[in-house]
Amino acid sequence: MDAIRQLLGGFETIATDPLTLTLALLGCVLGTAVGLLPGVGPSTAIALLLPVAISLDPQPALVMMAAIYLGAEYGGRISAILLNIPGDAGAVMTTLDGHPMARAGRASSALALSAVGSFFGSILALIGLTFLALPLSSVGLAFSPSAYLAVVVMAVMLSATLVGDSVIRGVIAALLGMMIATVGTDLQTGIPRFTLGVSELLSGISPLIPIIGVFGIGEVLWSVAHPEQTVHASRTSGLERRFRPDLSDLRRVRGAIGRGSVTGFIAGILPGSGSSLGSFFAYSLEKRVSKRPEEFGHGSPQGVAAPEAANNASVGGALIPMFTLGIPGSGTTAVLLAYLIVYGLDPGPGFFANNAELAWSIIAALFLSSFVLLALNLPLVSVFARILDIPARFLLPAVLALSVVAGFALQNSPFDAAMVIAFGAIGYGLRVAGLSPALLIIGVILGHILERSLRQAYLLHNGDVVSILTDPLALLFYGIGVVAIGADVVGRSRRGIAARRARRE
Amino acid sequence: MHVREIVSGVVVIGVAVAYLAMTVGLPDRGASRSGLAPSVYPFTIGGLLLVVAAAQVMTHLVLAGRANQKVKAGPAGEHAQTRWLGLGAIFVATWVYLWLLGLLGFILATTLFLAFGARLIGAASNRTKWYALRPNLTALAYGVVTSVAIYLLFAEFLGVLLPPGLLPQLLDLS
Repeated sequence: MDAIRQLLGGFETIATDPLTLTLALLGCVLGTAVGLLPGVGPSTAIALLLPVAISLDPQPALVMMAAIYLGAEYGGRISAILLNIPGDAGAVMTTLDGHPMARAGRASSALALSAVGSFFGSILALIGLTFLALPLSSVGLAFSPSAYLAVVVMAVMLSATLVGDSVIRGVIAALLGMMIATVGTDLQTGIPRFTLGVSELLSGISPLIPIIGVFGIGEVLWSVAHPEQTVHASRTSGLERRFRPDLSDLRRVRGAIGRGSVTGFIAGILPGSGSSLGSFFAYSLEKRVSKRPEEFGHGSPQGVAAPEAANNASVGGALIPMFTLGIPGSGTTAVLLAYLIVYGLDPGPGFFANNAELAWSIIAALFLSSFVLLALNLPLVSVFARILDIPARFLLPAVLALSVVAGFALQNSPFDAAMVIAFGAIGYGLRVAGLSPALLIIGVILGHILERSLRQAYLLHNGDVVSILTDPLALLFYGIGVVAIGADVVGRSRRGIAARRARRE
Repeated sequence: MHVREIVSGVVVIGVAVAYLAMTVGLPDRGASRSGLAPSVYPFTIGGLLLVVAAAQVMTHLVLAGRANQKVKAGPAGEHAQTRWLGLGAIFVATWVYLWLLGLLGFILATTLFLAFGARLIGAASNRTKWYALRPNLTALAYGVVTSVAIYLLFAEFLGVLLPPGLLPQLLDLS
């Protein structure tokens, strides 16, 4: 009851301050617009607006930042679905089924489903944040480095069976991505690895570069080489022009949204995992529990709704360790944390008690932003879908130019832009070889996290590999990974046998 | 279908071998009870990649042999429709665009690139002649409008510093 009273107080604070209210709404619009751009995710958007935020008081500034965070998660799905270019790492899983839905003429449905999934993901996570922030704050701490390592290893194991019909090709794509993640300077010893003498590679390859290159430029190269496969606008069925999703799709995805929300929320609580792990696990779980797993990767509504719910739910989850422990749950909350420190506010166990009005205003603003973003995005789905009506001769060069500029803008570096183009060629090559670009990116993201957590676990256990592997929580996750892989292999064999039997008959 | 898997598998084996060769060259500094040597993790990844890629090649060689079919190209038409010329042209143009960014500046370079891209892709689909005036003017107009829009978005809205190039000097001269 105390939480409800505090939350209502937060709503009252926002409602009675026109500036805060306006900035919350502005943040929703800015976040969505920025999230649309390839490579410019929520953390970049918030960081770029630092000069504006510094000139404001903490409360309106942080409310706006939180709204931008949520808005950018919404925006990233639009280019993911329509153009197969995820706005940031968290939107990668949305491309797997969102873009095939668009190619099948169901762009409006995909956008609407993702808007609804994102909305419920946000709301469920914010309810969790409101009532469970303090009890759940210790969950993140319960995850020792060896348990965290096990989570990431489990994710790597699951990734191989996630996309496509060949486990071997899936493993190859993921391992190639993990190789890319090793380029740079070894943080522990300072030794350059695989930099080929290029000084710009000493800081490693940001995951955004292969994302923009493989998806943005790679997709355009493929479209130019195979124009018959270019996405066409929604076939003009009346249903596709409406802004609400198909009711039968909505019924199908309610479980997916619920599961995705919980998965994203929990993943968000884990420090450093961000929305990418949450959306990954949500998609993976959904594919395994679905009665129609063969639809995944070809336009399954659950394949869109689950990761989108998880994306937005991870926002709420990531705020828990940020507020209660002063530990960022994601890259974006790391930037928000920096703001809090600049303002002289001390995130940690006493934050809710010492800054109650501010904390609850931010949470209330996130609730409000969720409704605003749904109201803003849902009617616009048919407008967004019209992007597909733009002739290829205008759309494709613009995507190329945007991708090159986005790569340049990361660090004002022509080298990064060159890397983006090179990854475009790699992305094309992957498609020719039948390897999944999405799995390459998943490998890059997981590779960064995996080596970091491996080193932490090794350090903290003094090199005792046995104790790393036998941590009780770690054993649980390894077990889940093995069981999931085994079930998938058995399932594929059964389907293969059934298919061969059907062909003989 | 098997050709694709065999060829891609061989390429990946090559990548893995090169990667492992570079890994072997890494010093073992830092290896101790408290830290992994910098080569351990990459060696594991490279080794796994080599094994899996080799498994792919072997599997498809065996499958191709078992089916007793002449190893042939992929499903009919899978790559028969590849527009290599257009693909090569747009890829080279993208590199030229990056080079021109520093030389001419963002707006001029992007205008030229977008106009060229629009004509290249448009000419392929509409079969218009390169020298046709109207499509060229349309492409140029599209290039100008879109490059200015992208400039406003990145430079003015997001505050990204884009290369100014020759445009400020040209505007000063006028």
